[in-house]
Amino acid sequence: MSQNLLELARFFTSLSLMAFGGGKVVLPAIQAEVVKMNWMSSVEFLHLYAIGQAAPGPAMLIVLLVGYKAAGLLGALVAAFCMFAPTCLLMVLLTRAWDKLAASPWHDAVEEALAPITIGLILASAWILYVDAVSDTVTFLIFALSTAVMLRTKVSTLTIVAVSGLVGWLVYGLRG
Amino acid sequence: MKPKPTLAQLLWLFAYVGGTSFGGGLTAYLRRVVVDQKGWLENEDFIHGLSMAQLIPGVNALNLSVWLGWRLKGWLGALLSPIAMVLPPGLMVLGMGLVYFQRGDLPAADAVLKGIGAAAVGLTAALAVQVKTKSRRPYVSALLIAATFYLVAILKAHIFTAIGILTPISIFLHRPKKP
Repeated sequence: MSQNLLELARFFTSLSLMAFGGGKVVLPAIQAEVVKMNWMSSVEFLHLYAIGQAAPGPAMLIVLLVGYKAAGLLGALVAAFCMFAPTCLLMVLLTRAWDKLAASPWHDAVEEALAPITIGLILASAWILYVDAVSDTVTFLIFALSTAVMLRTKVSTLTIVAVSGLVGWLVYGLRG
Repeated sequence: MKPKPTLAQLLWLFAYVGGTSFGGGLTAYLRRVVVDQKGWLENEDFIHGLSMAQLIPGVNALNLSVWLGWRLKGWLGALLSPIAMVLPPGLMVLGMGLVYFQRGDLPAADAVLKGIGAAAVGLTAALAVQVKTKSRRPYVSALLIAATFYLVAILKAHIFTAIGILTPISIFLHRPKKP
């Protein structure tokens, strides 16, 4: 058990700082690791991925399940901590360092410079998601209406998502 | 005077958002609440935090929660916000996982997920529009947005690569001019 804990700690700590672009990039690495360590099969990993997708919250909570399978509840905690804590710490350090540079003319220039790239990345991720998620008229309507409601009203995202889920269930769940 | 949250209000918010952000769009959700509904931050501030959150490795929403916590409540906020945001969904994931490990499967919710997935794309698209702020160099901005999009979405470049190439270029284009 303790061997698994150590491996979880080692693996996820090193993975944490490599998760550029959100975290999904390292999913193949995690899949390879769980199979190598005999914690679960590829198929089971895929199922756990689906669970992670269905659940709310930030991405990569699947590491909780990987940790659990490897070493119970403690394993889940170790996996999550090692995966998330390093980058959270990095965020604080970066923010503090950045704030200290507030007086420099480069400070605002860099923030301005990053803004369009940030927007481009968001658009890119919307596009990549779009290709998978929108495949027929109904999903297109849900997508278009969600965008419109989000932009034109103050309706909460929870409502938007709940209604969309309901529509999905009515259209895809009840027929056939 | 901009309203400021108490620590309890902030953490409750993160827990609520974390626990109800089905389908994704967590960043859009956070922006909606923190900027539009509560007015705790300006849109400008939010995008600066989001930029930094995207720049470093790790889950963007989580990095963003750290930044928001820091901005609004210092060290304690930075430490507790991500924990608050992860706790409810984390418990849900573990719960669902345990059901799966017992039963060997999970009652399928494909239909619901299909609707939610489409909505999440809409939220993300809307987010891109909403974080747009006035730029002093709109054409350069538009070009950079397009270049980033093209690299990542069309050419399927790694995000790290796109950031690595475009950030220096963008910084150069936005360099402070000597008065």
